[in-house]
Amino acid sequence: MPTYISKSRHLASRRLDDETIVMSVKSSTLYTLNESATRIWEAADGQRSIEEIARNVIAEEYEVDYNTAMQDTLALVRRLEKDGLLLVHEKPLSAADTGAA
Amino acid sequence: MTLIEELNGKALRLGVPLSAHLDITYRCNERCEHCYLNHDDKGEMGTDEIKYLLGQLASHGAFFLIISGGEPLLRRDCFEILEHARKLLFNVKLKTNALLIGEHEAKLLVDLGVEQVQVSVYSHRPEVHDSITKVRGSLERTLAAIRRVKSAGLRITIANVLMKQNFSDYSGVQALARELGVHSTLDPTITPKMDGNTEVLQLRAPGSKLRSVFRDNELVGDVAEFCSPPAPVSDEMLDGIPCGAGHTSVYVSPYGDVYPCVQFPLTCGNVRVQSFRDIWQNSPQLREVRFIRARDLSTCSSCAHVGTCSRCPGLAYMEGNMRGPSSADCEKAYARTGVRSAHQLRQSKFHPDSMNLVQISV
Repeated sequence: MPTYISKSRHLASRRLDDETIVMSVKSSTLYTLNESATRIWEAADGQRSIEEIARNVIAEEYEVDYNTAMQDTLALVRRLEKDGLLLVHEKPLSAADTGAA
Repeated sequence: MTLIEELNGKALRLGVPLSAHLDITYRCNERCEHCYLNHDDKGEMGTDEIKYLLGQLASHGAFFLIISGGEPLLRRDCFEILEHARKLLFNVKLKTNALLIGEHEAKLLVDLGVEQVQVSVYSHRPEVHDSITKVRGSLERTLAAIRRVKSAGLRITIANVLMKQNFSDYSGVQALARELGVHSTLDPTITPKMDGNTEVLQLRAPGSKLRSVFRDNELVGDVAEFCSPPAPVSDEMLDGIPCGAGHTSVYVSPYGDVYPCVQFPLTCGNVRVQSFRDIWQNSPQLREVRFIRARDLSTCSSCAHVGTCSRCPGLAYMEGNMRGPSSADCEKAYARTGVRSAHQLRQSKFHPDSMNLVQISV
């Protein structure tokens, strides 16, 4: 079953060149996402599935095979979900919910 | 290197104002003795002007945003401004005296995702705190608000300014912070008023008293390390920038004036007549500030403390020369290490009587 990811609203973030700074406003923990993690982060719009992001963003842009892209994407999603920065959904979010999860 | 240092290094290379400080009003409901502001409203930016500015700051890469004053909650649109800042995904820290934070406001701050609230507390004793703020009952009200904000789930820092009036109370404030379960900071910096008036500097805690503060292991941790003599000066230190003001941080007044820092009243432009981008990229004043390296400092470049001093270029500017020394920081360096600064040694040549005051370092 495909799963979808969206960003929590309890965070601050800013793109800084090819990286993204993210801070959880609940834990005050600061993260920097590298270039590929930034691409996954930006694609986490609640509309695209993890599989789609791995295939169409990571595998395509970084010219890696799908399985490698999926492993890397899942590893990042699990980490950021654990830290409360990404939310995982069984269904895509409606337009009204996007960005307000 | 910490993550913050890495980010600041990257922001410096990219020319990004990673940290922005915006005072949305200079009006205040307290009249703190040491305050550097004129509290009259001389034409604050409107809500839309501030929202537009925040958009410009965000698009220019600003991430850490301090919203302050005066008392920011005196503005009816304060929460609208905070909400807009959060929509732009700023990391927001609100500096306030908390007198206007009730249950409703505390919940709003949490809902909006404000990362931190900083509240000024000058003493654990009402008679001392209230005599500094000039508002009877202010400590009691501020502490009640801190408890509300804390129980709502927000991170709080108590900020204490060390001065003559409250010198003996800083450990009481620390104990109070521990009891409340919040962080606390202590800063001995008293700044001249923004109009240049220096009378307020009489409130500064004297260096002889700072010496004991810098040897309080509750405050500084490893006293021997904190108070150790300065390391030998290297070329790397001399090639470094003296401070992030105007490089990776910026301050905007309620009237739209842009300064390198809140403590550095060098007007670099006004966002009501120029875009922030234009000011940040083209201001001659900011260019001058950015051009300065430690080796360019008129006295400090030959000072033993140049690599480790907390020299504030804004305080130096207010003393008359942004490349010159900041006497208050010389005092701090001496109180900390027992080693006189180059500026203090020069002064003692011109004032031979003071030679008798030279003390033996620890």
